[in-house]
Amino acid sequence: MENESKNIFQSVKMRSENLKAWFGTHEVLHGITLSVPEKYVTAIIGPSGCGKSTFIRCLNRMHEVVPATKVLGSVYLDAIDIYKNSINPVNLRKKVGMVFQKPNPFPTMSIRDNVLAGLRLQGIKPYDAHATVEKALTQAALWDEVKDILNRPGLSLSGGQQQRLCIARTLALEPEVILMDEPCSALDPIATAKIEDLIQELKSKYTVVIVTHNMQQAARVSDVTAFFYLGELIEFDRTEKIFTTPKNRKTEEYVTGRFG
Amino acid sequence: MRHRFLKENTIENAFKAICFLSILLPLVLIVVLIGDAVIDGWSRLSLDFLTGFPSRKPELAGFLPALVGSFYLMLLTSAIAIPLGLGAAIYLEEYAKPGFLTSLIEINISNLAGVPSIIYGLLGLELFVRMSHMGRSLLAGACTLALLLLPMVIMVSRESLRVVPNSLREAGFALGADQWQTIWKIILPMSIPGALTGIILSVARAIGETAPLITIGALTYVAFLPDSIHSAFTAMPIQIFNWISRPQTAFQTNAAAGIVVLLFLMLFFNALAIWLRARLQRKVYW
Amino acid sequence: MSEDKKTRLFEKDLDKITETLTQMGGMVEKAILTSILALKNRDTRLAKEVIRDDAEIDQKEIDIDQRCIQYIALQQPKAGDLRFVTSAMKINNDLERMGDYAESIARQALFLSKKPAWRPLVNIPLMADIATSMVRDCLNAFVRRDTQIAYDVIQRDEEVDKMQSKVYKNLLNDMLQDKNNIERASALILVSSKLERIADQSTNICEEVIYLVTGENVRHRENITLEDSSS
Repeated sequence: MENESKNIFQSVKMRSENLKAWFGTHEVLHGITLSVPEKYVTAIIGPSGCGKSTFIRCLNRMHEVVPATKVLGSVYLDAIDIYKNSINPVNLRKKVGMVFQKPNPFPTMSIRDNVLAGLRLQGIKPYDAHATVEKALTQAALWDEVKDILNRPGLSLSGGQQQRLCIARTLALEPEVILMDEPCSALDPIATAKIEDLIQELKSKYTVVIVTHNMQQAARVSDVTAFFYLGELIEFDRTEKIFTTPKNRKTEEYVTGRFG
Repeated sequence: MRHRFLKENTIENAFKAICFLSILLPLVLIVVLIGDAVIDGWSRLSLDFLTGFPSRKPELAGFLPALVGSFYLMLLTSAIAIPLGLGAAIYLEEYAKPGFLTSLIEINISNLAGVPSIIYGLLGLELFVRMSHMGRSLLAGACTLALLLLPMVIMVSRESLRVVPNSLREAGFALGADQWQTIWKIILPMSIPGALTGIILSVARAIGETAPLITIGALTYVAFLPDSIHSAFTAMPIQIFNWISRPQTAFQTNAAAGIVVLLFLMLFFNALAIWLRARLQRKVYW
Repeated sequence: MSEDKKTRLFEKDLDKITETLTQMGGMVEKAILTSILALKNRDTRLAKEVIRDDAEIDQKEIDIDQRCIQYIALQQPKAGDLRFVTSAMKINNDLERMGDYAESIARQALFLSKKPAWRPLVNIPLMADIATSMVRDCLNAFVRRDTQIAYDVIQRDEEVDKMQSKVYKNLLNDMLQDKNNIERASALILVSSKLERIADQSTNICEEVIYLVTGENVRHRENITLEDSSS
């Protein structure tokens, strides 16, 4: 068991160093230092308002899209500080993709066009559009269900399928990291289960960070878990340790459902 | 218990009756007005009327220059007002940071929508006809009307932009698109149907604007068709206004006929707006 | 914000498990003491009482098992709560086993009471005292979540083992000296070995308590000391 721990943290894909974030004058993250291991699933749990969504949005610089926000500190993707002046956030987001809580396929587009949307938005014409679409949808475990209806509007799919379509759309850009902000909150248990299985498959090629308020999901799906509380990182360890023998009393209390 | 129930029912029914009346009354009034105009002008409506030029004899006076003038005017006005209005709306909705200046602009735009049209006429007279040396041309008329329409076009466009859920903007950004790409390829295509309806309705309303055109000097007796944007012109409301001021009752008939044409065109534009919206909205699912 | 935590509803379920285990522990203690008393006083009535009452202990085991499984299914416990429930299930089994040992001792007491009186029991009552104190203390450690008590109990097991060896040697001697002693000596050897097992089970329970409190698994280790555990 000890050897596994050395393996997980061996290769770090993204790392935050003393990351602080504000909404206006309200400080929501008080200096987070966290290493996200490469090609594993990292879950971030914590009660509402603890800053977990804000943190994940700092990883692809989506936090600053909202007016009146501020970020201090560094976030490293591999060895590069993504908050350096020379880094264009738009380029960063091609490498660090994001899937949102409510599935948001583009309503005016077909399934096929949705998958290619990421590329087309930037004016990129894929060499072989059909192959790109098939590959992305296959990786998102959706190909079999939609291969005959690619021209139907994206919104004609069920909620779970729409979410997988959004995942396919992100995968079409071939990112290195996939961020997921409560991706199953709006879905029924069966659709949730499919996405959880998909996440397990994705981690063989991508680094996944998932924010969830569902502790059971974090326990099922992740390899390492970070517990946030009131803008601080309280504990970060292998998932099985967090859920059987957490070190911090606050973690114990949260995980056993005594608050939050 | 039963008494209270009955009483609530009575109030409910009374309220429904009042609401119904408030729709019925204006409808009846409109039908009466239109009916009156149709009855009066029906006799004069003919192909000659529609293709003829004005004349001192009422039975020979035609509506063509007014029709054509209004048509060109609408085209030009739309060409100016729509890009400007959309652009302003996009700036205010997507780019402007909330703050004192932005609020100032927003308040002023709302206020401008309520300014009487004759003020726009006076502004157009000074700014376009005289200072810009456009003279009493189609261009000056179009610019003036464009100014008149601009607040409404901006407001309608902003509404339609606002209706687009923020989650789609976020999706665009998360896919590595910059703001302009997101607006151009995602937001605009989704908001155009809604905006279009409001814009068409605004432009349709402008067909009937008389005061600003009179002020900037649209002619009332025009025996030619405008051949460029710099030429003098007349418009339907002007022509109608002119005919009504003539003493001969025959000219009143002409005026009524003109009104019928005007109303017909407005109805047409409204129908166009509704049809367009229905067609475009089929592509957009919410 | 003062963390005056309101007790969640599920905590009542956890408390009920503790309460029932404590009751069961009390019943087991009584069974052991009564069986030894029956042995000392050659009291058949007491012996039969112990044998009969073992059914109650078995019933308690089923009850606690049920409560624990239900709790796991419905509450999906984590961390401390999870360790508590799994430990409770193991302690449950250990206590039931102890009840069986007490019943065994009672049967031997019954057997011996029908035979003519023999030698004094010497160390056996002493062993019984230590064993019952270990049972009482290990349950104490469980209720109080006290690892110190747990470690102390584990130390005492050695003493019981030594006493059991001595008793065995003495009785073996008796058997070698006279064939007629064999039946009665065997019965007493059985009793002493049951007492030794009761002591063992107590240490098992203590190991569970240590896991419950610290998350450290100290089973099957030689010479467990306080320094071994991080807590």
